[in-house]
Amino acid sequence: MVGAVIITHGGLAEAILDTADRIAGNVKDVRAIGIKGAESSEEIRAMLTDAIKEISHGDGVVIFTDMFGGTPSNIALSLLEEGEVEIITGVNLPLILKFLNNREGRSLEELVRLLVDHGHKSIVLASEMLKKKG
Amino acid sequence: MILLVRVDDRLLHGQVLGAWVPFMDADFLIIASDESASDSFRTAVMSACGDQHLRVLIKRIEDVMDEVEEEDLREARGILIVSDLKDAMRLYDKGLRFTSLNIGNIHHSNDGRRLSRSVIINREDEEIIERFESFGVEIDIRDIPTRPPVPYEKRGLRGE
Repeated sequence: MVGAVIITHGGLAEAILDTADRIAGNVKDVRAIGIKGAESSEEIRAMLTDAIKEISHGDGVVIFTDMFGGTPSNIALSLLEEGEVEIITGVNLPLILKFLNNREGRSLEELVRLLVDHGHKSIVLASEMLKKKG
Repeated sequence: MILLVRVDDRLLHGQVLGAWVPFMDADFLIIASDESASDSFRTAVMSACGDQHLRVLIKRIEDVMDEVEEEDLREARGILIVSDLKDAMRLYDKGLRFTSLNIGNIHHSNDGRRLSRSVIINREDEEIIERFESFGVEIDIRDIPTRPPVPYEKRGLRGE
């Protein structure tokens, strides 16, 4: 089963994981890391590699980061290994729920494609969507 | 026109893109770093943070002066970021002039003195800061623009 680390600025990662646990459960082998601002880059990198080690069982790992270009994302990019460690930026709740509900029986590659497609569709302008449906 | 010079050991990251760029209404960012300019992966990642409203340029220290004198940049609003105080002083010595120097992130965890949550400086940094002060450059220690700056205090004033 694919594992995951959510790494963000502030308390977002912990809050998303806590919320996802309440809604979907199945958060085994998912870790949350919040960068509070006092850590050095080396410390953050060590936190991230430790978390990956804990949750990696050979099926691959997804690192979810909050924004491309931010420190969590920049450090995660240095650990990118196609087919082993994939990175998805712009984490949000629908994305994590989709991950939790679809990570069994899929390869890492299939899973990340599914997630990114879903992530793109998960932000909607409600008025526009309702007009289309009506 | 460079409106802000910032020392930040993370160079381009969330505080820069999410706070300083909108606060300064910047059109371009210059990342002045010999290490990043010679690393094609880091250059690609940082360049990808730009869009039609923000140009991101990654330059070696020795190429910065020529770049900022380019006409299109002279007219535009820019932020220049270096990874440490040494590079800020190298640019000053090459003729780049600024009246204020923002210090956002420095982490010298081994032999450092903590000035703020994200600024931990060593002796060499202190010497450079004091040299900047002697040139009349204001030292502005803060990570993001919406927080008040932390005053720079010389070593010993608080019994350190």
